[in-house]
Amino acid sequence: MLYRDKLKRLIPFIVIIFIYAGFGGWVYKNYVTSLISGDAASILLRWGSRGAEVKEVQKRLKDWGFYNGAVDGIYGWRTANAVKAFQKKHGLKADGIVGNATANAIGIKTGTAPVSQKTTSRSNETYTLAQCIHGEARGESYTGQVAVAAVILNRVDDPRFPKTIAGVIFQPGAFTAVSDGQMFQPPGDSALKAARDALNGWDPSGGALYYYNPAKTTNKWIWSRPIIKVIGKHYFCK
Amino acid sequence: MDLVEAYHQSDRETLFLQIGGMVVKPYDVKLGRKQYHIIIAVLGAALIITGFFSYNAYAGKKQYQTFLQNNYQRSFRELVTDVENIKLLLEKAEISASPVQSNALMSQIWMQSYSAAENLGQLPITHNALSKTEKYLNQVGDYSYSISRINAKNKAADDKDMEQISKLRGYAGELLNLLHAMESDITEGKIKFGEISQKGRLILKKASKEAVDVKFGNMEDKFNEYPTMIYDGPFSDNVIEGKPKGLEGEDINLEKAREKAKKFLSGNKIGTIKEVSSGKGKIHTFGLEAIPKNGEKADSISIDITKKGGYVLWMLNPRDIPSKKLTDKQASDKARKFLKEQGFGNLTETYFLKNDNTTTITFIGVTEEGILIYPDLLKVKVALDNGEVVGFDAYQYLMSHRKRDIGKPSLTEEEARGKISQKLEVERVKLAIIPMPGDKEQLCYEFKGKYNQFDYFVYINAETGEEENILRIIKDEDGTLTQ
Repeated sequence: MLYRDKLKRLIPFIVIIFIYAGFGGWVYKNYVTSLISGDAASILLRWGSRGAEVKEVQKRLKDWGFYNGAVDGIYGWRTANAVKAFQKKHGLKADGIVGNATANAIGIKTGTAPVSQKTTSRSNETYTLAQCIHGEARGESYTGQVAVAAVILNRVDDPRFPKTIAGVIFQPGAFTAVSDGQMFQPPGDSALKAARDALNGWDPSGGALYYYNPAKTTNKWIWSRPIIKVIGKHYFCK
Repeated sequence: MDLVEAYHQSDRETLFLQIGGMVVKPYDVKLGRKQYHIIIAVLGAALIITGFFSYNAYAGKKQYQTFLQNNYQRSFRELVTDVENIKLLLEKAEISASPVQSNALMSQIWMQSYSAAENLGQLPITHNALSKTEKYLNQVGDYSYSISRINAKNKAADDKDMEQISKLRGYAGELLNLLHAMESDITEGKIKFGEISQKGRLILKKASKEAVDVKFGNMEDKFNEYPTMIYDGPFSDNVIEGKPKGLEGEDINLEKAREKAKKFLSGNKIGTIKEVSSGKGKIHTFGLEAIPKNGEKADSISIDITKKGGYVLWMLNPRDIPSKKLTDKQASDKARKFLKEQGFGNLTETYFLKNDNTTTITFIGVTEEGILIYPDLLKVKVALDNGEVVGFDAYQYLMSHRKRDIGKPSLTEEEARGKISQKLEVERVKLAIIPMPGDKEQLCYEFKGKYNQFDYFVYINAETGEEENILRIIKDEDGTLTQ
């Protein structure tokens, strides 16, 4: 009797151990590993995503009968449910998020240019540029976003910087949004549009090579540069 | 046991349990010491599990750090090899007397400095510590490429060029000394690149970061007497410092700039126009923002008016364009009409690009004799829902437009035709002024033709008959561009 009693009292603690271990494992799997490997970056589209890629997913799922909402490029609950149904059918984890595996199964390319955009070899650059703008300046006005893109392109044309768009964007420490991984999100429509305008030649920054947010920057050197334009929160300088 | 006693007892036990670190209701306490041991065991197990996971996380992190460190090491060591090669090749080029040999050496320098600049750009060093080094490497490459172009015409570099080369060789030596010093520090483990990339602000890491920055910073000081490099290439200092040639007229004030903006945007129902910033780039401007009547601030149109002469430098209207109603023809008619209204004469359209329900049309200058002037370039972006002009960019135009004295070509069209590849099926020929490296221009015959299903433009120098440029045209439903 006494033994059974003890056992009964142990149950809550055993449960706690399991919950604890489970939680630890979950944290490890979802947070720690993704933190070191940057796995979170591979999630492509999820609830709240917008844009041409979402449209493409919706279009395909509609063709196959998984989706019956509007093909509007907005990832809402209908799209999420359709994706879940598709995932179940194809033996994928039914989480309603279009990651790499799901994107492959649906047949859209991941991490590259939006499928609907059939332009020249520039589309790859456009997308990377747009990601960087989205990470760096999504809170800025449209003109402010074009200006940030123009700074990246001005750097490509200046001998003091790397000579390709990717080289400039991924130069260690050059952009905060690249260093902390914020850049690896699908860019918004506005960022894509801004990237195209900048590639087409628009430069609201007046030829600037640097910009900074005076409220956030502690870098003394950058303060010493001559300011040539102020757009929104950003100071643009040579 | 009376009530008071019971109360005291439970009170004491509660206290006891709280010291134990767990909030357990007092009646459980009756279980006594054994239960307490179990709690300790559970906490112990939890600690071990946590420890295990954190160790795993730590080991993983360490592995990634090593990986990163190795990558930086590779870039750095490749950089050292590249600079060693650059120095050696420059030393050889200095005593080379044959254009053929010099051409080969210069091409190799070009390649090596490109690779060196690439490797330097991958190192985690703050930009201000290495910008002059990077500039040096890019200019060495660009400069040697321009000399190899001279050599290719079977001409040797002149004395001035040779002097530049020996100066550049001197800097390569200095840079190499610094890199070798750093290399030994790295081999001894005094500097670790892996640590530099960490975000932490721990003192030790910061010191290490500064060590590398300071060392490169020392190099930057040595570049203080670095010569101004002027040659025929895109990174030539005169190109970087270029001044607008197309700005004429008096300086205007803000009031006048507002008027100009209003006139330019006459198609829009403009409310207020205010100055948001002044531009102090190569072209000084009033940076204006025009808020549409009954519009929101988010819809405001940005427009920059030059202080000198009051020209529109660029304009962007970020409004949403929901539909596509205009044909290509209608869009280009709208753009042409707009340019005429704004007083631009003699322009012809070349390329166009469609996206987001807009068409961006590139216009270039054209003389009365029909000679195309490619450097005088401006862009008009037309909304395909109602034909409104939602973007305008005249930077190139204002940088280069001026009255030009275009001489008669020394070659006839027939002579020029003899210079192009026989593979090209020529469709039409025009005279054109094209931009050349080093902020120069050249009168050429432009041959438009087809080869292997692709459209090409081939440019033959109208003075010397040399083939100056080849462009391939990319055409699809979204636009026409050249590459």
